[in-house]
Amino acid sequence: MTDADKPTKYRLIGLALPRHDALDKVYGQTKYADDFTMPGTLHAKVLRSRYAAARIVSIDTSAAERMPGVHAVLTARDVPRNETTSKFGQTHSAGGFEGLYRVLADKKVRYMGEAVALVAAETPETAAQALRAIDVVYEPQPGVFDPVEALKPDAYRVGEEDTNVVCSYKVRKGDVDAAFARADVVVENEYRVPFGDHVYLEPESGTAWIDEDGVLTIRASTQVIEHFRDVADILRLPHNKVRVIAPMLGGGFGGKEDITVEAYLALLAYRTKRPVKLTYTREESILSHSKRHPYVMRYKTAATADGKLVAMECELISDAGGYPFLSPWVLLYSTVMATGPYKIPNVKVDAHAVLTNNTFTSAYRGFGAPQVCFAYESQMDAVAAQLGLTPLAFRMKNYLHTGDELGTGYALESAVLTDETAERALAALGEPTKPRSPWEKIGRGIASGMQSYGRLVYLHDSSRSFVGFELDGTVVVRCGVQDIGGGQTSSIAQITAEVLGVSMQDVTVYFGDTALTPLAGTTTATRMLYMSGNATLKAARAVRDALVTKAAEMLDASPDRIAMADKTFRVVGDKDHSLSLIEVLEACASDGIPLSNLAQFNAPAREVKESANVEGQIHPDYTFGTHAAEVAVDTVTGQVTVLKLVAAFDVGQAINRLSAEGQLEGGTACGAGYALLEDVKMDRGRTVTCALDTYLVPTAADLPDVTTIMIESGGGMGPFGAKGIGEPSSTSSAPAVTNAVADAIGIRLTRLPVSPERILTALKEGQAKRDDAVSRRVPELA
Amino acid sequence: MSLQSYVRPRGLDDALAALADPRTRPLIIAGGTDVIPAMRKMRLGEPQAAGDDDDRPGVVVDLSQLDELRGIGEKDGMLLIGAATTMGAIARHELVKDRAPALAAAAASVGSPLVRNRATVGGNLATASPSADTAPALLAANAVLGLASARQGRREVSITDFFVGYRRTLLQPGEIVAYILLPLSRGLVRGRFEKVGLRNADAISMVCVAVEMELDGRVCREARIGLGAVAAVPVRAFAVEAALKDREIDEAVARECAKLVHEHISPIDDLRASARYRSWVAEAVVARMIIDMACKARS
Repeated sequence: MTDADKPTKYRLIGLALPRHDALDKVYGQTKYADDFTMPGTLHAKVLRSRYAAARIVSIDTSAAERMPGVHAVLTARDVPRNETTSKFGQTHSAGGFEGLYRVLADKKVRYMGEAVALVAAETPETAAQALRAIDVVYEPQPGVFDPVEALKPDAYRVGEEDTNVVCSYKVRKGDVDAAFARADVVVENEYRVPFGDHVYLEPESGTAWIDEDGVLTIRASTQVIEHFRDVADILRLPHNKVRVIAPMLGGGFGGKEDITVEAYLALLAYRTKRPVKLTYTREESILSHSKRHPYVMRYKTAATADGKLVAMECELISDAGGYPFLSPWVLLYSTVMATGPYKIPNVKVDAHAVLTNNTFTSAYRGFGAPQVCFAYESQMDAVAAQLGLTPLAFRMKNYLHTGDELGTGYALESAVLTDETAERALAALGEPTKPRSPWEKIGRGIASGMQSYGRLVYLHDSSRSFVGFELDGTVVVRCGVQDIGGGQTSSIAQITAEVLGVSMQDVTVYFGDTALTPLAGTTTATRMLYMSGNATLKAARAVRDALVTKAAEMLDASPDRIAMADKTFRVVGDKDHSLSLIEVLEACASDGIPLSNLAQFNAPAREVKESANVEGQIHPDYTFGTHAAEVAVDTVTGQVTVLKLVAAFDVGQAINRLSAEGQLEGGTACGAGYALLEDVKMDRGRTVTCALDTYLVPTAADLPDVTTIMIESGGGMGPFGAKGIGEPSSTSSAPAVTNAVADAIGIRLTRLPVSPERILTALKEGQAKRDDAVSRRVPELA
Repeated sequence: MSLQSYVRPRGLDDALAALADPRTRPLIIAGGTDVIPAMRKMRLGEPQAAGDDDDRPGVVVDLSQLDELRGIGEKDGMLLIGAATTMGAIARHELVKDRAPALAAAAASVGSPLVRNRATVGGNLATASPSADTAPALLAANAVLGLASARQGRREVSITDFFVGYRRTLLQPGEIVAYILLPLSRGLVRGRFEKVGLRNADAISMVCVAVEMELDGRVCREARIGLGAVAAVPVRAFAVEAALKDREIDEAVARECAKLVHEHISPIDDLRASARYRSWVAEAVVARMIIDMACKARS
């Protein structure tokens, strides 16, 4: 029996139901942000800095303003409130973690591609011409492009403050130095990971207009409609005079968690009183939007001869780029998860995020976890090799379990089945593949990961959902989710249908509109199913309870004996008495009993004690899992062929099996790209991989089918015991692939991506030091 | 507006006539896979900036529908390929796969299915990118290119003379590549192509190599080796070929001969790979291909 055939206690939950949005997407009928056009729309373009570090001496917009067809040219002085605090759909302030958000560059530019001026014109061509007519005089500055350099006391100051350090955190548990002194094996390495781009299919896009009630309305591709507050603050408008609508997104992956086009559109529409549209080209998108943080990570790991981890010391330096954005949060995630899903009595983590004149960095699937996972999972294999243990055997001795403490002292409360995921992932690789030629080497690797789902407990996160019956038995859900392509709205429909005893087709979900749908928070942080799923579940259950109570009264039975399914109320054990859903709905309506409910779900909340010293519970919960990979390395060219990929995760409970599988497959592919290929290259702050012919992501021809294994512990905090899977599915994929490469060639590379050139260089150097390489040989896996 | 017109001639003579007047600043398009990205960079849709000399193209001449330039056939014991034949058509063609396998493999390695269904072999040569994947295969096949223009009429040139510098060919203004002729491999002559890219689709070569070898048992009677992405132009490795001639091939011989590839290559650092990597891989891949082909011939 496969997992999919297992009998389930649910009617619809866990089934592989086609998503309600699937067919439209296959037919190309789904409307994305750029597909909407208002009558009389003007076209916007953004003038971006040609320098990574410069002072702005002057900006002359007069020639551009005089051009026929140009309706507005805006610079920093035209922005009512050009500087605010970076917030991301928060309803609770968490001081110490928020940085400067500057709409348009003022006096100083901090990264190449920073927005300097905005234009709205009758045609895109006129707008482009107007950009070239804007005369900006820059005074180039030396800049600083390496976070380690930027930490030095005499380094160039990226911002206006007297330090480039955005934030620093530490974790202290036990005494690492004493543990290192006593340990049998100590392994020390420095790891580096590059900038990454999200490469969503849909670049940033939106249209803004002023509606008939004078409300500034923005329809944009965003993961956070609650940026409406930030937009209102920037324009100094009341919050209830700005509305943000998010249609279906062509992907987000964290890149649309920051404000992208919204503020520019709002400023131009407010100035011109005309609808204004702005869609980035791919080049502009790669140049100007956030990147995944590059890290320098120094790891020192110690174990006893019998294979027990005793200490881990980590120093993390993160390149925040030109502005803080989400860097403080991302670094906090890295700090908490720096030691991975392992029980380690002595932990010391020091982490710093540092401004440079590189493109700013912010959220990217995994949010600080993939960087450290690459480091700690490389360390695990390196320590195992020193101990003469297989990677699996060593990990099995050290995995965290329910009740065990993280480095912060927080004891895990939910199900932790990392052992089972690791055993099953490795087993699913099956028989080893034989090399196809004498030049090919085969290797296998595993990597386990832990990744939070739900936002930081400091944020007092909440979500709201409205569920209501219509009189004909159909259902409306109103929930402010942003559907970024992960099946977010479809899962909400499925949960609602499960509880209310109707089919998924009976449920319509209105989503992503700050004026019409109750606010549900961000579609980020692997939180939407957890938070809005729970809010929807709560609302649906309230509606169900009201109807069941009424039906019980009508059937003269106690409510706990009423079964509600297939649009019928029955008395359990009594075949003769039943009521149709419509009969009960009509009775409720007649008696003034609400057919709807608006529910709020609140996540666990904690106060920030001392932000620099990371202690206790930081996240609501974590998802655990393991990736396994088999690769072939061509020793002549250094090219890697990924032969097999497996993702095994405790998902708690799959809500929609197809969506969960899709997340596992996509996340695994994303991680494999991080391992082997993806690399935003910057040359003194200038992005030199600004298009998809130079920023390479894996294609369908580059990866095998992903084998997905879902374990359903039911032990998550989401609806029906679900855990989040969106980000966790990606985190441990990269180190599984790089561990397989290390197994194949007998040399561990400590820098991503593990490119053909880096592999071949290592092999050439390895030939020269063959004895040394043999001593670091990675043993057989199991 | 810079771009005045688009023409799609019905016959080759009309096409050559449309290209004859340089004052119209003609831009040839066939598959468009090089031209369209270039046009975007040239901002052809925008008005000329004040005071700038407009040297951007004025007329686009579309050769993609000219029957005279499309198709694959046999002529006088040679393989004849129209220059506007797509990479996809070449890669799929049974005669090419059987009798010019290096070219078939090279065409199959270009871009992705979407690109291969538009990109043409003539365009691949005329653009003259150092990494043009069909160039090494045609160099190894000793292909002849048929050129045509209104002014000079028809002429045939060897592909070894065609590339004269970085992205420069001996095509004169108004002249096009009309067809490609290559000897059908026969008997013991075999061809191979290998592309070293960063991924398996939509990747530009870091190194690409084509080898044609006539083997008599383990003895190499003749070899021709073409390489791409390792010099300003696609190159022949004449020194390696000469060293292999009439030698009995084993692994040591192959490695020794392959070292001579450095006489012909002068790779550079770029985003995809360093010069050092390209040097290593060019030599090692040439050696491996020779060894593989000789082993295959033995067995």
